[in-house]
Amino acid sequence: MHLIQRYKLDSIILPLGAILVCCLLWYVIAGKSVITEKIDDFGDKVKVTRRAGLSADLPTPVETWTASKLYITEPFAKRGELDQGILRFTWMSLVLVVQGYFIALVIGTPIGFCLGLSKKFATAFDPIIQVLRPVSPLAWLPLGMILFSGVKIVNGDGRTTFGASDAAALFTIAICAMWPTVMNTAVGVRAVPQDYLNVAKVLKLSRSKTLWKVLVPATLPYMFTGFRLSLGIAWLVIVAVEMLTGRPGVGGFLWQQYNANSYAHIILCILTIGVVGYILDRLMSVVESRFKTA
Amino acid sequence: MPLIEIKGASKGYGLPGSRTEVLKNINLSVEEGEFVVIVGYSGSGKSTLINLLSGLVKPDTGTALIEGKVITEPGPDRGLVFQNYSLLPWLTVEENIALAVDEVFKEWTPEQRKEHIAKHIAMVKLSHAAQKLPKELSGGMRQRVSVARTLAMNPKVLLMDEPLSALDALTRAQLQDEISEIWMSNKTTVIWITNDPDEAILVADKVIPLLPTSPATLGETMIVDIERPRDRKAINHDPKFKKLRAELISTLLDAKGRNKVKSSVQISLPDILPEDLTYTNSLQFLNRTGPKRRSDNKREEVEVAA
Amino acid sequence: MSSILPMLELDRLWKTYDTPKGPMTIVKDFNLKLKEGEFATLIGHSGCGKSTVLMMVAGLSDPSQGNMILAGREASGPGPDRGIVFQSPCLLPWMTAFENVMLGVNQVYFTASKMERRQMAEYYLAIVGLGDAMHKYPGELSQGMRQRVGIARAFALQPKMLLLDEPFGMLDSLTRYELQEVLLELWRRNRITTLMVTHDVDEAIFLSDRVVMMTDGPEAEVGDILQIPFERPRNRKQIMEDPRYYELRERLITFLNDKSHIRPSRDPKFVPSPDMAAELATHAAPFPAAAA
Repeated sequence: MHLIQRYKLDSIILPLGAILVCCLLWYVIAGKSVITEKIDDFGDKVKVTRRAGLSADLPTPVETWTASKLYITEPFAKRGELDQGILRFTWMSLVLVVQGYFIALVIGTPIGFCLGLSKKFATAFDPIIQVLRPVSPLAWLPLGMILFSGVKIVNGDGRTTFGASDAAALFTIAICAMWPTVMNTAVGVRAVPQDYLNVAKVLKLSRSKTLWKVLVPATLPYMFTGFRLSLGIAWLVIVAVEMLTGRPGVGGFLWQQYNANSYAHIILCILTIGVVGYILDRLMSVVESRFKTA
Repeated sequence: MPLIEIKGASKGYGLPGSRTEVLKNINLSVEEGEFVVIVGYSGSGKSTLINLLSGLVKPDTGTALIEGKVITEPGPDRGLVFQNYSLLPWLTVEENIALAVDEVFKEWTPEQRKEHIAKHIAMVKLSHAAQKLPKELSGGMRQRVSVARTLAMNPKVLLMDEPLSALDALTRAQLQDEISEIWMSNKTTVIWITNDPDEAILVADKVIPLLPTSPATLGETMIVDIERPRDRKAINHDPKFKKLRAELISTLLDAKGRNKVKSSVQISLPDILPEDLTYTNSLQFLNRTGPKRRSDNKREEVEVAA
Repeated sequence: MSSILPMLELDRLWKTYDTPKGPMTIVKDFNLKLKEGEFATLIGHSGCGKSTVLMMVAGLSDPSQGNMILAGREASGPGPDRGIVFQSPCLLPWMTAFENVMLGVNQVYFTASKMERRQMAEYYLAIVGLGDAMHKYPGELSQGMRQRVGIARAFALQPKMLLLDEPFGMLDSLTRYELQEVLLELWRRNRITTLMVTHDVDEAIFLSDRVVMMTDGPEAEVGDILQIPFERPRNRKQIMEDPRYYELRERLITFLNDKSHIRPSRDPKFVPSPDMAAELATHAAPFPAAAA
């Protein structure tokens, strides 16, 4: 019992300590306001505030908190198109990510199966996949804009609800997030033990039965590893996509605040992106481990 | 006085309510120089038994004694050999053994220790491989190193927990012979646990079946009165061997059978015959609705283990 | 010789693999006939090709040459008319024991009612001693239990032939003895023609009607045949106390230790044992290679 308590305590205190150390480091590096008295041209004494430090423009942790407080304490507020609560932004980004991610899975999984099942298919498409895989989201987005330049869905008020930039964003997320699913599914299909396939052969299972009763369950653990990695990438891509298209979301907010010289908000965005990414990964891991044991 | 002894020991695991008793009323007494083999099913408490002797586990009731003293913790007077060889992979054969020898015989001179180590490596016929790392050795050779290391600590009793179960049949046979040979030359007391009745009779003075009752109990001791060295081929013609073997195997199998709580359930075997899947598209399925049948339904009563 | 057709007829079976060093013949001119309801065992050293023969009969490996006739029909490709039990039971880990059996049952009894199919699986699982554990996943079962499921799965399909590839090879001796009895119990109820591969002499004697000894590979062939005279149903204790038991055991061990290199087809001085002669008499040209 004693050991368990100590373990729990350790697992809270140690990370907290590390966070504290990081904040301290941040504080040291960050710029601080220094007030100096100076005689101006008229001979009057004036107070001049200027920032000094290793990185003069970097706000300190306390400044960051004061500047971001409003966004955190009112996470769902909407003050303007690009001035909203942080969770509202996160939600917008998540919706887009989920849509793009879903497209990635729907397209990626069957491609993965084809690659795993057919040697010819794999030989034919492997070079293309290997070339497209490392392409950055920043490179895909303009192509998406061109591809979907004609897309425009207008609602009753005449406002565009889904335009070229939305389509391009989805396209970019889907195509970037697809690869881990494709690769892992292919590896999983190839790794199905011959024993299981023999069972299917001996029982003369039909093709669809072999797929659903043997191949898919045997590949599931691999597929979920792919799904988890894909979600991670989709979340990475969203920031880049929002920056370029100017869509409202965590990434868009970040870019806009940078342009507005509101540096404290950048840090808020980075932390939010990190925390959300971590939570998504944990959630997928839970799902993944459930399939591993089966 | 027996060298090592268990008196009326029982052992169970788990909290009250969901507790499983593993061993019950175990009485075992081994004299100095005896070679005792305990045979039982996997998962029937064999390892718990050896852990009682090694001191890794304390009995709930009863006691385990060595030379009349209660066993409370593991000690160098009881050498353990496990199924996995537990050698340190970054040390050579010699260094692995030296690690144990240096620890136990601190008062010896380095020369004495070196000689002692060399003697034990030679005993298991590994002098040529003394400078090799475990990964360069076969499974059988590794287990020989493990035996040499244990013997080099001069234990009063050698406790072996399925030492050969991880090896293939051929290597296993070879090691059975070698360990018997070593035993004949130094007569260290051995308690060996196995799941192979043939192995038991081949190496032991006394064989004790561990009956898979729930909780497990020890059966009657069988004395193996066969001359050593025993030749594994010639022994097949020995009427004593045949009799012992038949007795031991049926004791263990009967105990398992008895252990089953018999309950009768009615289950019926539907009288249907398999379809020929070679010609699934043929017309044979069109002119009948149900499956092919042999006769009317038959019912039978089957005994099922509860 | 016999007027009834054999259940399985292996006629001059060859298996050749292409290797970088040229073709390698694993099995050469393998001839064997199994009567309906016979339990035959192939015994030989590891690597002698006994499993290759079994896999060819199973249809999982194509013979390079020769004919396989199963119940009067040329056998090709795998199918549920030959039930296989592998060394590792290869159950699908995402299905319970019951679902694993049902997978095959649904397949071959597709004309039967759902109720009858369920009963079929339950019946066989109960007989192998899994009445209470049939809804557990393979991961929750011991090695021996899993193999019981494997055996139940094979029997539940009522195949024309049962093929056992070292079915108890991965189990410890005592569990092996137990499962041998489970197998015999099922076999007593339904005497399916069986071909088993093993290297365990005791197992071969206890289970089979006939033990077929194979010569060492490559180019393995039938080296000798031994008829096991014990009555069925068999009792292990009685058999072990029978004086003939150790004679039979001795013959098999002697073959494996000293005679497995002698190839009858190439040894002009080969004198077949009576049981071997009986088998040879059923084949038109038992040694075509020697004749050529």
